Amino acid sequence: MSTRWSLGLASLGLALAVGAASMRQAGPAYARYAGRTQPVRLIPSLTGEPEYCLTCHQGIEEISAAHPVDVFGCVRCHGGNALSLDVDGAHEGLLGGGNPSDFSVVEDACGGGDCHSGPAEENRDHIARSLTSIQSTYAGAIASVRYTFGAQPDPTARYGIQAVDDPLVTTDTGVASIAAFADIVDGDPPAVQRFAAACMTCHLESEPRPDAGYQRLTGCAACHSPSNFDGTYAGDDPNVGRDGAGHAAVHRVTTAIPYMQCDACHNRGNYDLVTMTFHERTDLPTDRRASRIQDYYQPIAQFTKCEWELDCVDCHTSGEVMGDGDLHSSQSEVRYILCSTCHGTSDAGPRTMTITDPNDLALRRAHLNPVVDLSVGDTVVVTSRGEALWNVIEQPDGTFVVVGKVTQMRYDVPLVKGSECEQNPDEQGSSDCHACHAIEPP
Amino acid sequence: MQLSREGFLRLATRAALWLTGGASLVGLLQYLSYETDPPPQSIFPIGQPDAYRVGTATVIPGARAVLYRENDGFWAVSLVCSHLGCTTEEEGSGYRCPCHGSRYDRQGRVLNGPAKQPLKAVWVDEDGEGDLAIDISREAPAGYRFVPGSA
Repeated sequence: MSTRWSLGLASLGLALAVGAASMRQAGPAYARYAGRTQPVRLIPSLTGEPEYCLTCHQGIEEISAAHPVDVFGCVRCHGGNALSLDVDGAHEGLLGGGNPSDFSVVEDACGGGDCHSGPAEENRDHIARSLTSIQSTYAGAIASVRYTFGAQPDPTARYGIQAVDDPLVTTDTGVASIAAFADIVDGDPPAVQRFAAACMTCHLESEPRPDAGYQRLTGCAACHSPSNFDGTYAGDDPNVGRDGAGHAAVHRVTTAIPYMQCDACHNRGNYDLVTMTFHERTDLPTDRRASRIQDYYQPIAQFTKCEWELDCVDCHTSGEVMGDGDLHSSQSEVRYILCSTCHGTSDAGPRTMTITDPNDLALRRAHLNPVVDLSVGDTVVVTSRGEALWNVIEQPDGTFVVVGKVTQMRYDVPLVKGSECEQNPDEQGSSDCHACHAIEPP
Repeated sequence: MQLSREGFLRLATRAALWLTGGASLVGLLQYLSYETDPPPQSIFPIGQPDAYRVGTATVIPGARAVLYRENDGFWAVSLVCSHLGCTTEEEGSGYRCPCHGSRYDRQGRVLNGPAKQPLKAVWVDEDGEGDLAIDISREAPAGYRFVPGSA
């Protein structure tokens, strides 16, 4: 080839290369996702560092009023590469995929002394409590099954999903540490091994069963970021897929947790300890709008009116659900809400406390879910362990109302004292009350 | 007009080179004229002192601060919550954080947590033309007052 030809081809190649670079500059790759060619910068006040996530995620819901995006941004919780405008580059180092509350990364994502791993006395030990809670460790079921099949001499927790130490045991039933179940299960009886193989989807670190109705995320979001029945995203971020499961319904964390979210785990069937298989209920509805008493609840169980009109979180407190920070052998060790907690007994009304400290935890919790206008001087019901049910409030005339944390519905709370009920104050188990007050499905 | 093969090649080569040069020049100009995003504003001009009557408190939204004028001068408090940085809002005679509920009095002292530190006092000054300005990047010492004309 002559020099002149070579020069011509080289010039043409150079022109094409420069042209391609110009076109790429005019239409960057992220424009395909973002629908725009100008990046969107955000400098959250908490970090002061610029990030460009909203270039593609314009429209995404603010995660909560307590985590405004102009303060927190995205990267403080989600990680990732704040400056990248490439979909893969930006998502490199993302904490927990799309779920930074997964327990494998939750300390990095949600921790910190001012956030969710502060001191217990300030009630900022949310992560520590969650990691030691029986919903995370699954220690109760493991201990129970191992005890049943002779693998351990008593039902005290020895093993959990993960090995966990609790350096400060504060209750009579707490244990100091548990080891990882997976490390020893090979030496256990066959039935326990079948349990390990088939029954490990019931804890907060596990992925849920893939079917509709079981959908939830892992970690804190399993409860605090409610899912749709089929686990699809239905929010306003144009770049979160709407077809696949595995999403929260919208980008949100909340303490107003609807009962359907609890039912994703707690009301979907039973384990058969003979075959170590899970038997799904086949009578459940295919969406979450069905009647609760008729379509959701266990046919053989008994429920009172409040149990099928209120949401679970209206009575079951954070201390019960997330635990008290100790490692326990059974959920019953941290379950202390009784009917009498709100209704009192024939001898006495419910235990109460009047809020005197503006730093009281009840006020903080009411602030996060402002369904009631609570303030210093108000009197609320407390559990036998002193934890406030801040949504059950004494009225000036001595009566009580409960306000739904999800529904915001107000209900009068009937008191046993002064009523026709003659139930022995020392016999306050749920079966004692259900004997008279259970309601049958219509 | 007839174009020889040599002439065609020369023309094509020159056209390609001019095209390359032109595109490169455009790219170079774009590169040189690229303006980075400006840094966050920290100094906020807020007009003449006379615009603020003695005994008033004026929220300066852009600065996320509140300007007080009292008999002994001007002073300002940042409205950025010392807990995690949300912008507090006026409530009664003080301020309340909408994120986690911290409350502060008028001076920025903590009434209830989770915040533990007071709201930050920020610098008030004036420019050469006598206009006031708030500098939110500079923390003012306790009891700081700015008297117009004293700069």
